[in-house]
Amino acid sequence: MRRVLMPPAEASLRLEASTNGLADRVPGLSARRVLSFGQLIGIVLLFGLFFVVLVASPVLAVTIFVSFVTVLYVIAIVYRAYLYLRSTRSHVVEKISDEEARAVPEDELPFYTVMIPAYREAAIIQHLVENISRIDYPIDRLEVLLLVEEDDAETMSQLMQSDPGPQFCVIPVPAAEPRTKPKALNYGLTLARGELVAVFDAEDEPDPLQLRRAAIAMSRLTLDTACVQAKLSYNNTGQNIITKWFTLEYAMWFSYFLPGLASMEAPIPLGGTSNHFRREALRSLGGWDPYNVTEDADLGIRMFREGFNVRILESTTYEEANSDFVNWIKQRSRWFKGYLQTFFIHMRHPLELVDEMGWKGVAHFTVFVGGTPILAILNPIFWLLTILWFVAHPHFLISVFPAPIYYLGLFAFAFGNFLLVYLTVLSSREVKNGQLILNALFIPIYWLMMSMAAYKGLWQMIVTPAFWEKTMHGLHPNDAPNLEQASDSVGAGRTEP
Amino acid sequence: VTLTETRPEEYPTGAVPAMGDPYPARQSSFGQRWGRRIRSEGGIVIIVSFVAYFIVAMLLDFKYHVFPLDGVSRMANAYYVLYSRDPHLAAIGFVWNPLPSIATMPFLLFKDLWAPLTTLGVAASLVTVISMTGAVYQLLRCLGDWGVPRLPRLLLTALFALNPMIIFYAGNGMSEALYLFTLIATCRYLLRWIRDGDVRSLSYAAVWLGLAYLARNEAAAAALFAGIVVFVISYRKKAQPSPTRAAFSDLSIFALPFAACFLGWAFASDVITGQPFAQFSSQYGNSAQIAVNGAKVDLTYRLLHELKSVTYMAPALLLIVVLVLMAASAGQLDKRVWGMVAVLGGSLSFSLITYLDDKIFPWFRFYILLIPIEVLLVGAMVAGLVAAREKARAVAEAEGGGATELGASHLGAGFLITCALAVLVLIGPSIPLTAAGMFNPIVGQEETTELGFIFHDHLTAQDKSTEQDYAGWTTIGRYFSSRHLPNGDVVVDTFSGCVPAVYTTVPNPKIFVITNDRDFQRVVADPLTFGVHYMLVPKPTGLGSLEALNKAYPTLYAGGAGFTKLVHQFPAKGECPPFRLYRVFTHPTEVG
Repeated sequence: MRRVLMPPAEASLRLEASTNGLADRVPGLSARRVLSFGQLIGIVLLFGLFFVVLVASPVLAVTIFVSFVTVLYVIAIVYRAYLYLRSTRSHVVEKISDEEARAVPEDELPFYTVMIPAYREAAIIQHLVENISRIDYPIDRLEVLLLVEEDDAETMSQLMQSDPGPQFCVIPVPAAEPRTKPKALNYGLTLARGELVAVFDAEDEPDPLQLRRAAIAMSRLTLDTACVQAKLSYNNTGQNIITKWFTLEYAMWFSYFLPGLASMEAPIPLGGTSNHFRREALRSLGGWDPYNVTEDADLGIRMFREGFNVRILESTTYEEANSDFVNWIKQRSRWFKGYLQTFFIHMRHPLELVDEMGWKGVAHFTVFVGGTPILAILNPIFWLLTILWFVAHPHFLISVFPAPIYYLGLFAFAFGNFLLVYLTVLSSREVKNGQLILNALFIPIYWLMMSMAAYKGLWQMIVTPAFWEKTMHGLHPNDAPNLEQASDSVGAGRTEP
Repeated sequence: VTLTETRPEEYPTGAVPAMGDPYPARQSSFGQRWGRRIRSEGGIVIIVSFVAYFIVAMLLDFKYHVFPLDGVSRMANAYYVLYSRDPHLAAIGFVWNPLPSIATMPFLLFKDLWAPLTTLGVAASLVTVISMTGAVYQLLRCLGDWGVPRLPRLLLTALFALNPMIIFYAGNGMSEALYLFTLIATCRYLLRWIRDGDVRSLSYAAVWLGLAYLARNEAAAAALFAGIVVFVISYRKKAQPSPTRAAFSDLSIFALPFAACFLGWAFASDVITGQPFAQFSSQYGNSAQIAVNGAKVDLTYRLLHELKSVTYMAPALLLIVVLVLMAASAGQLDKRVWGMVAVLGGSLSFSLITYLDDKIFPWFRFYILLIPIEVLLVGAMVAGLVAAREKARAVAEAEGGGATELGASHLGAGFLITCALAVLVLIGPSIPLTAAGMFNPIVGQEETTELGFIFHDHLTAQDKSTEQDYAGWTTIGRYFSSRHLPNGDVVVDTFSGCVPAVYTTVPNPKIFVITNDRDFQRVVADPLTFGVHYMLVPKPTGLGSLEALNKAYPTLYAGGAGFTKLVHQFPAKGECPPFRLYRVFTHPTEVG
């Protein structure tokens, strides 16, 4: 396989641009620092004030807290119900039939760059090459950049041994902190020549016509649509209960919530893979934020702030769902941490944000990006309170729930739980011929897992904000014939810096 | 003249908006969108029905003071939750399904701004006005989805909306309007699902059905029959890989919201009252009421009574059913009609069967579902004719090779007028006959009682009594308003007669200890210990014998049961039975 070599001076220039480009140009939008000084003061003051009230009048303090959270719950629930209702507006989903996709002559297709960050993915290199080779796109109009950390000898040697088509090309990314996927992507972006740029993960199995579909969709959309996002699903759904729930969760996101958000022209947190960008738009945005652990979600928000649109592409990429409990918790804690990071970063200057996004945009952003991890953190507290209520009926609970809040809370409890279980049941129809319907009924256990991850994410955000929880791939027996090797890499993942 | 609208599902496949238009459905401004909605057919129907029903409601409330007590009770249940001396959610009570009460709550919050909301039951009336408007709109959309052209569609909707039973129940504060609204909406989305197979349509139908159950129990029967239809239709689609699994999956999606409402309500009822189905089994429930008040008539009488009621409500029903069956056997009928029959007919069958079994009263209002049933059956036949005609036309064109403009009307004016006349002949007679049924003292027992005094030239004794209803409870209400009693001074069971109406009339309802207060049983057992000095008790005849004070102290009404002395007597007036107010002077136990 080809490998891009360049003088060390050039490599370090590109590295510097990938690492600090965004932070140097627009420090306000980089997660190099999570909380601004003002925010830190604000949070300290808020906690201080709460503590003072708590000491002066515990009942009042708890009542204020409970009321605030209950209102938040009600908003989040009504919002999700509304997203479901809106998701029927199919005009936000770009549908290009197989015939249409194949009909476009090769010389009318744009030059395409596919970027695949592969860090410690030696076990699945063969698999990766096969899946990407299956893409139906003229190879003289395609470059596939495999972004490999320079010192990841194992992956590098696996790649160099394989001999795929001429479109493949290995890019060694100089070893330097932060070792994150967005930094590797930025490095790739400095070299990308394609008019359109797609990102895939190493274990992805994209729909072979996806690039053609995306290219056609982009040619029909105006330049302010900077990105089309393909749908994601899992190829190892049946492996265990975690992968089944994960599949249901994705089905709900891509079938209901994402189209709902898009139809309301809300800011959309992108997924980490199978998004197709106009290269120039991406560059003008400064690429990904290498310090943000959900750089994909953050990029979606930054696009919205700059006035770019995101559309959804009817085309599915199959990924490997995280099947291991510990591994899942790590991945999810990173997502929650990233959402929190993203929320705080964009909230540094709320008025500026309102100027750029409008009130509606900020409301969407707050409920979806800020609300999701915060509610996952609050859920266990309120589950415990509910159980306590039914079991012991303690008097202090009555005193901290003023009547209107009590009724709102009851609504959130009864309707909210029902709605989310029901939406999961409905999602089960979107995948696997509805086999997962019984699993859908037990989704509350999955919510419990989410809350565990949310606490881990919160803790990490405070302690190590830029630490990237690497998700191990190749845990699926069919993907990784050498299980020992796979479990080795899980061990390696734990000892990451 | 274009009398048909183009229906999205009839666009030929592949007719996507032209290339080069990057935003085919770019959203217009908020104002433009609402302007269009209001001027659309549906918007106009909503506005006209709402205004008309609102006028009816205001006349019934302010001019005639017609408040059917079931409606007042449901509003009072919400009132207890918010404004009783012990405000708590469980005070909503479990004898009636909760949605009609819950729906009045937002209006009750404004009672201090506009007293008639409670004193004249306007809150309950507003709920029925809105609900019936919703029912009319859902029916219109249902016919539209079906493909009924505009002229017959508007005519059918008007014949529904103008039926005197519909008009009366659109303004009187009862639960029928809300039930019709939720059930017709269920129908509409179920029919849509049968057509498009989209799981979203099925989920909307399912949620509306759950709400329908929270309005009235009969929805359980609708759920049963509709569930069967969902299963069969889904199974017959022969989905791969397993039709059985697909059918069970569809059935679960359809049944889940209903099951959640059903079990949730039963669970709440069980936790609070100890009876999961208080609406049937409680001291005050249907069974108890029938046992006390049911007239003893035999099965033949009940059967004939049902036939009579059906004939008054939908005189051409038999003819319509025969025509529908003929159309079905000729393959001219859309299979969606069975979804409608399952939902509305299923619910109606519950009332029919339980009355034959002598478990409920044969109220004329139970047959109100026949009105949407006949309208939708006739609508289905019109839709069948339209489909056949369009098909024939398409075949002729394919042979002739002529191209037609997309969405242009294929239907001649003659055809549409014929349809309209058929609709008039089949459903038109319902309007005068239903009115006749309402004023037939055997068929329309309740309606005659409630409305007779407005329409009769010579008032009967009953009419005169109804006219006194409002006077009855305001008399009692005024007595208590003028006494300036402290909170929690008078114990009374809200079950009897006009007590809920008294309760919502007085400015200081907190003086009453009522059935739904958590200390009610203890107070009844020993009023004085709880600082309660008065007991208000109705005459223990008929339903009055089910009343809690009479059950606890059978001799209270007649002679004070030894621990109280008579303070005041209220004579019977309208729906109010004779009441006596006793002052408690000692503990009942000390009397032995």
